[in-house]
Amino acid sequence: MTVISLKDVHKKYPLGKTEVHAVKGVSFDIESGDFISIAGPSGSGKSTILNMIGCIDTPSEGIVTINETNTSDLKDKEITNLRHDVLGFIFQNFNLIPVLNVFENIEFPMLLGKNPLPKAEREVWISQLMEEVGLGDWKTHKPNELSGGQRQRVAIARALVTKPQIVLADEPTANLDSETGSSIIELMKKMNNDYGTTFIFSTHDQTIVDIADHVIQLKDGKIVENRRR
Amino acid sequence: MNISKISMRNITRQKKRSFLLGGAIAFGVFIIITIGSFTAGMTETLKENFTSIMGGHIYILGTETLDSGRIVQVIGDTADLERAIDTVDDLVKEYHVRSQVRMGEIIFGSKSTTLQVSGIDWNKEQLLKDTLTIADGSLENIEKAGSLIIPEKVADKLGVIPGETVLIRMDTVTGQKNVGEFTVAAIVQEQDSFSFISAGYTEMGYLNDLIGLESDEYQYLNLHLKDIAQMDIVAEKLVTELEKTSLVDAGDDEDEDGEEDQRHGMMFGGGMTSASDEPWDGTKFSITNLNDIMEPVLQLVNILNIVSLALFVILMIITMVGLINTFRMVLIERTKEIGTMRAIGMHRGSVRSIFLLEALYLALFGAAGGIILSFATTIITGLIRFTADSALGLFLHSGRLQFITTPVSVLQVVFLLAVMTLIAVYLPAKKAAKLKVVDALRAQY
Ligand SMILES: Nc1ncnc2c1ncn2[C@@H]1O[C@H](COP(=O)(O)OP(=O)(O)OP(=O)(O)O)[C@@H](O)[C@H]1O
Ligand SMILES: [Mg+2]
Repeated sequence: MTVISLKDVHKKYPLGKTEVHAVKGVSFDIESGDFISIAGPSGSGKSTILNMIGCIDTPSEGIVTINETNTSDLKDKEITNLRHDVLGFIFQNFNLIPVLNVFENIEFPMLLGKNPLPKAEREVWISQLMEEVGLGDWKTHKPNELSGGQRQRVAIARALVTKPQIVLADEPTANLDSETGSSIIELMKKMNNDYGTTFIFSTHDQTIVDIADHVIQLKDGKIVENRRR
Repeated sequence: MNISKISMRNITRQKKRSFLLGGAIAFGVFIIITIGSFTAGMTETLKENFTSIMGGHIYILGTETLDSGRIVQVIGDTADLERAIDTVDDLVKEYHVRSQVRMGEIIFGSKSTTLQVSGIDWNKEQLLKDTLTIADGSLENIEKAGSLIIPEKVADKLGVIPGETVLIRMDTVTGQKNVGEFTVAAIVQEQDSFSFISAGYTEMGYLNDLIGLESDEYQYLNLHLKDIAQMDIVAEKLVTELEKTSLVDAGDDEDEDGEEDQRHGMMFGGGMTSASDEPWDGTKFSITNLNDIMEPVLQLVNILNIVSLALFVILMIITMVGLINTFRMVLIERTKEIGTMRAIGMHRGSVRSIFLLEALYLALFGAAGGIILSFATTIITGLIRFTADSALGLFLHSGRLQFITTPVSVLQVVFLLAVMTLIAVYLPAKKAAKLKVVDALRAQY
């Protein structure tokens, strides 16, 4: 089943009097349960594409559809709901909420929804996730008391807590040493297997790319390779 | 729930900054509530003290013209007055008829001092009897002609004890000098609230004789009402009733300030009415009430309250400028965080709420601090006993300053503060809510 589809997508950024053509006519489909890597050198348009898939940016031309919905047609409220219900986000800089502890950070997206689970059920589910990302003993720690790798594990748990169909991760390992980075990717792969969540992550690290079962290689805003294994 | 938790915790992120802002708010709230409590307490104290000094809430004076053309203070047409009073009888707790020597000189042996002597109809003045605290002697024989009650201070000064005889030198209503002999029946403790006046009491008939009044005449009549709120109604009713039979110099022509002052002057300083009046027949009544006396006080209190409100608003505007700047800074500091929360699925309204709530909590914490500080200050100040040996006594309640803080006044201040805070932070909050998610996430912080 195709969950995401890009059709001839362009993105142009105004830059002074001229403009930067960051994405130049990109088309591809992502199947449910994919573990996909968007790879390419710096400036090739990885973040731009992920942002458009993540509905936090809109294409200048072309169509991005999620579950057959054209995202350009949606209002801010609907897009926000779509982000909450269907998507999960993992960021390069972890982006945890500093005033919330580990448990609360993971719980946070659940409370944003319309009908959050009852507290007891939430706690069971969050505890399970914390165990799975290896942070069972860090429940009440604040983000600034954690290492980068630990923070990214919290972020993974947070991205998964609402059981989204798709998790987007823009260079999730860029701020980690290569060993920690690999373990993060492996954790994501495990979650992909366990929960069937579609993972889309960008990276310019070739060793990480190899773990993906679907690689989209970019260069200068164009796809140079779209390979499934 | 989640949002209010985040707002609350955000306050603690920059402790010093929050502390300064909260402190400024606390200071403003402290000032306005303390001044408000002071003026409310002072108003109440003055009302009580005036009621006590004047012996009631409504004061009816009479003046008559003698054949000589001289104007004297006396109520001769008592029947007219009593008929008028009957019409409001059910609203009156007690009424007192009195005559008075305002500046008598009490003499014992070689010593003397000034004393205000009131002639009392003891059968009618239970309230007065109740408020007198006997230090020496007793009230047993007070109804006997010539029995005198004096305050402790006067007794000490003269060295007189109950049973001894004193002389009082006084002016008659027509301005002649006279001297009367009195027997000290009781010595009473000073009532702190108005001990700046040394007040003595004697039986009215005897005093009337000395100052040249008939025994059934009196100089003024005071009404002590059951409900102080009905003061103006009762006073008006009395004027209407009295006007049917007599000349009334009523307080209804309020624009004529000169006349009011004159009446007040008669109450306090005594003396004759101005000679400009044409002679008239019978008793001319003049009716004043506590509200009339309180009017200048209330005006002053109003001015004070307005000044303190203005001060509060100015202080708060300055604080709000600080608050706006702070939240502009907060907006920059937390741009990335806002982007994150929005990306994860937070709606714009919630982002705005986080900002507004954070400011509101800060304001409320500040307000709570100010209120606590104000309570502490007023309670401690209210414990201090002042020696009431001066006009300050008029502002003291049992020798202490009285502060009245009403929940309504506190709520008004808090409400005003909350509204100002929300207005101040609205723009930064709206800006935060309007941030484009992708731009917010790209921010440096
Ligand atoms: N908001 C923007 N305004 C202007 N130009 C932009 C903006 N965002 C991206 N670009 C430009 O678009 C191009 C693609 O940027 P993008 O961030 O998508 O690259 P990337 O592949 O994610 O690079 P990196 O690996 O460094 O993160 C770059 O040339 C970049 O300068
Ligand atoms: Mg990038």
